[in-house]
Amino acid sequence: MADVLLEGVWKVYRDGYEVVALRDINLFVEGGEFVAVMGPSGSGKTTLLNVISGLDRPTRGRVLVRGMDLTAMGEDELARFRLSSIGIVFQFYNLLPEMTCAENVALPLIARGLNVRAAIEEALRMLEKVGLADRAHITPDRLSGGEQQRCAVVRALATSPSLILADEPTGNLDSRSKREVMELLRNVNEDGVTVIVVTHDPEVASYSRRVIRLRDGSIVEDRAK
Amino acid sequence: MRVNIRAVIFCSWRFFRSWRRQGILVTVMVAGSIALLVFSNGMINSLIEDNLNRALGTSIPHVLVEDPGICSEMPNCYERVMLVGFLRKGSETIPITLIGLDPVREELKPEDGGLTLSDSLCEELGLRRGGEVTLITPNGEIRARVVGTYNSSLALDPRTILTTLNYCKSELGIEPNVAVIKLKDPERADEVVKDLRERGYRAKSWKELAKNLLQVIEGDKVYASILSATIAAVVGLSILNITLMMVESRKREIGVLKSVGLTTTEIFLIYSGVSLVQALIGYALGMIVALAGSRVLSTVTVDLGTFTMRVSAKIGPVDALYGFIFALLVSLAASAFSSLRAARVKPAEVMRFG
Repeated sequence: MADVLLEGVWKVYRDGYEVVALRDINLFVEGGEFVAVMGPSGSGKTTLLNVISGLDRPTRGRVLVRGMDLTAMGEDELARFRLSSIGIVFQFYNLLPEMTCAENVALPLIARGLNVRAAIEEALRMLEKVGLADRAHITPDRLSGGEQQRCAVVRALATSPSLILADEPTGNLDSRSKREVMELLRNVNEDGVTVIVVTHDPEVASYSRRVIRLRDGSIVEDRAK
Repeated sequence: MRVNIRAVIFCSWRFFRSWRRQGILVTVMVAGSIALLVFSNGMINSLIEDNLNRALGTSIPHVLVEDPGICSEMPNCYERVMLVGFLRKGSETIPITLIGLDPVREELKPEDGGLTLSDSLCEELGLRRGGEVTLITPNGEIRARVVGTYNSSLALDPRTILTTLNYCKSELGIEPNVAVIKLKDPERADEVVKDLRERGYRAKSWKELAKNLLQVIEGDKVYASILSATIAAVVGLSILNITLMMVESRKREIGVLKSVGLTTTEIFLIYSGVSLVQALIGYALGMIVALAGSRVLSTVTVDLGTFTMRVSAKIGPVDALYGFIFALLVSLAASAFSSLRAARVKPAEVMRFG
């Protein structure tokens, strides 16, 4: 079964004038794939990722993730589906500044029903694996960019989703942090998790086994390496 | 969709802990408004109670019976003379109400051998203690001496003249014509009157006797309530405004919560939890300030020339409840507002840029 299936997906923004962000996208991503989505700014990369995650709805077409039609789901259903099946990593980390690194990681676990103490313990175990054990109890504003992004990746992985969506995950990182984050995503993928990364960076794309290029909202290249 | 209360409490507590500056601002505003509301209500209570107390039991008896014979079968019942007449000094003639009572048994103790006038009536007629005046009653005219004065603030009608039963009998030839009954609980007056009427007596309660005064007080209450509600509305809107700014600055957090997998209901409950705790702390602080203010105020006396006024703010359980409801309403409105905002937040838009 395909992990991600897009059928005739269009996304049109109407804000005074019309902008076509996605144009008749048909995409099939199998479970366990590592896909890089590339293209110039404004080509629709982030919109594509948002549509796959259910954070944005397509204007037309169907989006299926693990066989579930996201376009037929309500907002709360989508939220719950993300909680169980999708992990999202953003360019600007989007950690909650009110919580420590460990609490940020524990949040999706608590949302899934784990008690707070068990969730924090699990978060600490996961942070230890990525070398953040000593940073676990401090708030994001005191972490470096690389540490914040690793923490965000661990949060995305906390509920063991089958799909990780990363939007320019290394866009704000130095080269060392970039490698650390990409290694982390590669390891996750090797464990069978499907990873889709949006990037401008050929070095980041080199971690993937398939590259999709977008231009003006259309797929212009879909190449397996 | 099932709500995960554990996640709601977890986030509410973290947010409450972190949003110190805005939290303190909201809490202080709630506390200030509660203190203001409860304290002003307390002052209104005192004003009304003071007005009633001043009149009740003195110029307005709890129960008035037009048959002094009732006193042989009722406790705390006092015979009185009550009649209308005139007082003349020189060319000035003023209508008055004469009350003759037993100074031994009653709380009011006019001196024997003459009339006790209010200080304002004395001033009006240019009289002093020891001065003489003509008292005109249905039984005729006599020259009477002013043997005492009382503070006009103690009477509803400063043209009430007090004297003793003894003086009424010996100088005016008037026997007691009414009886007044003093009740432990003045609120029972209507009940007692009903019972007396069933037994054939013509009786009136203080609520009937002071109908005009009560109407004035009710009118005062309406104005006071409007004032109180205006204060509440202004303060409530200010608090909502702060909440609006707070939620606007939290759009990104709402987006993150949605992207992680929390539902709109859970996000609403998170914000409700934070505002509820802030409102309850504000309420507790506000009540402490109001009670302390009431205590301080009770020591203050104001000299108004003719009489000294003791200022007070009596805060009762109803005022505390009113404040509590206000705090809850503000918290609910703030939560409803944040929930509406949260529902409209599009995570894809708010989280795109750092």
